[in-house]
Amino acid sequence: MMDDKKRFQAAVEDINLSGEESARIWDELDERMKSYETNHQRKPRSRSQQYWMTGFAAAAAVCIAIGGTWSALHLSKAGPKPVGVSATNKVTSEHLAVFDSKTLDSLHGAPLYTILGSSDDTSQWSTHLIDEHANWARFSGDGKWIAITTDSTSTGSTSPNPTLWIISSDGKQKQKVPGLSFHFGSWMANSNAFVYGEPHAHHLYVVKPNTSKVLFDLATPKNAEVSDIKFSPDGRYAAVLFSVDAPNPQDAHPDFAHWHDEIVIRDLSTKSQKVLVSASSQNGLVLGPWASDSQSVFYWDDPQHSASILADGTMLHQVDLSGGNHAISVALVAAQTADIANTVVPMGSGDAAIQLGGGRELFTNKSIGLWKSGTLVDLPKQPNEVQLSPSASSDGSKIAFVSAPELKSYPTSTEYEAWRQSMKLYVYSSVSDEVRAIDKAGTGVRLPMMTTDGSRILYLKGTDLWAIDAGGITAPKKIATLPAGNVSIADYLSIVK
Amino acid sequence: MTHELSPREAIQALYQQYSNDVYRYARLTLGNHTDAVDTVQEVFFRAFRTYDKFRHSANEKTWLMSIARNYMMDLFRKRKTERAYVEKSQSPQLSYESQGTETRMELERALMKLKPMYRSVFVLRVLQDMTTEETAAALGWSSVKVRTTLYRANLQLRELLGVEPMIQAGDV
Repeated sequence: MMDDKKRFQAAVEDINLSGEESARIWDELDERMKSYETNHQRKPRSRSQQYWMTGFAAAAAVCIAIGGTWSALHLSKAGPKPVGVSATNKVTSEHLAVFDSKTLDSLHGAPLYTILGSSDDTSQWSTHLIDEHANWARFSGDGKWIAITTDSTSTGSTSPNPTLWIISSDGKQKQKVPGLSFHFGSWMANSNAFVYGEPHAHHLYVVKPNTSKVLFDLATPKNAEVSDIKFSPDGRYAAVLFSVDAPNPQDAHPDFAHWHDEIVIRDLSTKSQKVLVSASSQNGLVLGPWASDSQSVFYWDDPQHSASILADGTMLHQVDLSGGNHAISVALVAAQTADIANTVVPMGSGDAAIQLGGGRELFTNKSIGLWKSGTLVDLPKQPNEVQLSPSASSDGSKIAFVSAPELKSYPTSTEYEAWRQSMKLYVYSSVSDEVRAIDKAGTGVRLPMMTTDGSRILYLKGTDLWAIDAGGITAPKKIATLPAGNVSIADYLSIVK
Repeated sequence: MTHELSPREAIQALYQQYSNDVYRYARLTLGNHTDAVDTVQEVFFRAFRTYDKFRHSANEKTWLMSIARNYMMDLFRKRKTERAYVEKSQSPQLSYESQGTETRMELERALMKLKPMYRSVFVLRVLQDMTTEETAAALGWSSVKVRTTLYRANLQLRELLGVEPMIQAGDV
């Protein structure tokens, strides 16, 4: 009798790619390799070099003529002029949700903490453990509540089955939302109502703290599933992502031929809906944030619904309520990582700070762009420098980010960690068009978060959360220390008190 | 003799030889077809980009498996916070023609209950029949860690499947 090892080896022997699938993967791979070879044999000018050669040529010429340097013009050190200190001296209320796990590869959620405080008094911050196995979190607009999901697979079951909870931000009130499995959700603006969907949702639910869920009013086409929803900041509209003619994973031969995504705008007051964007067959869309003025929404293309393509960044668009569509640039898709909190940061009226650059490698080809009045310009940048993780004041006058020299070749894990530890904090002022190094923050800075009034920056360094004034004048103050060691931002909300 | 070819030709040769091994490893580790297909493409693309640095004295299959392992660890990390995890997780998609289907379904269900590190070591060492040293190289572990982790994986699988040990004393 064949022993179990051989029996199982035999059972998995025919887990193979079909000939057709193997050929398709190879074709895509071959295209990627050719494209890579082309780009690396004849290197295009970097964005900063193009910038140098065009818009800044005159300024550079003046600078050189007077014996200065490009960096002297655009990368001044923090000096006596406090560019970042708010003129209005508004006090902001800060809400952070952070994951802090011992290992990086936990599939079953991580301890989630909220850190609450005020920009005017760094001694009065409080830290609250919200859950031991959380994997997603979003604050309500007023910061009083946080919606989180926890992973019920932690006790040994196999398939992920995220459970939704509505919890007060200090963790004192906790409400489990009954249901099958959480898929996506969003707080309604100016409200304590959280709207969410389950996998393959045809309808959505809305739940408020201490109340039962009810159906959310939405017209879903018969052949569509709801995949995401985002509410405009003014509370008037919802942008809804529909998956149309999606394949049924239960079918023996799922039909992928007609699967495509649509972005629909629903006017919550008139209950009218209209399709703003419709992807071509077999292609998807990823819904991004609303612009601050509630008149447009950002989204990414999702070619062939391919996670692999998406991971290298795709074309970012801004579409307004009348359907006017701007293709902005290739940008990484919004997803929190250990080194980028957000890739599109709405600010001003319809503007945004954008993490630019394709490719999932963060150590090369990454810069930050200012999308303003339909035009994209790069932030001032030294050649061969990588800029990561933009965060902006709500008026768009200041953008905080971190930066380090670009790596020219694929690093080892030790080299990569050393590179991360070289990250420094910078602030761009749109008023002076100047980037200022915040030297007092030191190196190893991650995930800067600018308060909404632009007065302060919160940032991670190792396992500690710090705050510093946006001008880099005063010494940074430590706000919290997380115990486990692998800290990442789940959500950040800054509101004027 | 792939090192005498251009990088793209060499990757094509490696793809023809090892794409199914990479797919099987990814499929049994990640538990779904879609992610496994993405992993295959990504592994060979990463191999292409770093081909110049590949030490040709090393085992090609081990090298590819170590790239696959690193990529899948990235996926696990991302899934911690991304809702894509929810979207893309699915029951294993199986073809129902083979006689071993029932066995395979049973095995895949059991593998999904193991920790990722247990799953990886079991797939490479037992199902892919790589040696302890090859498995250690692919996972970036010591041989001792491969043996002890495999032992623990085996204990859990035995419990889950209700069968005799799938590794013999000599295997570890």
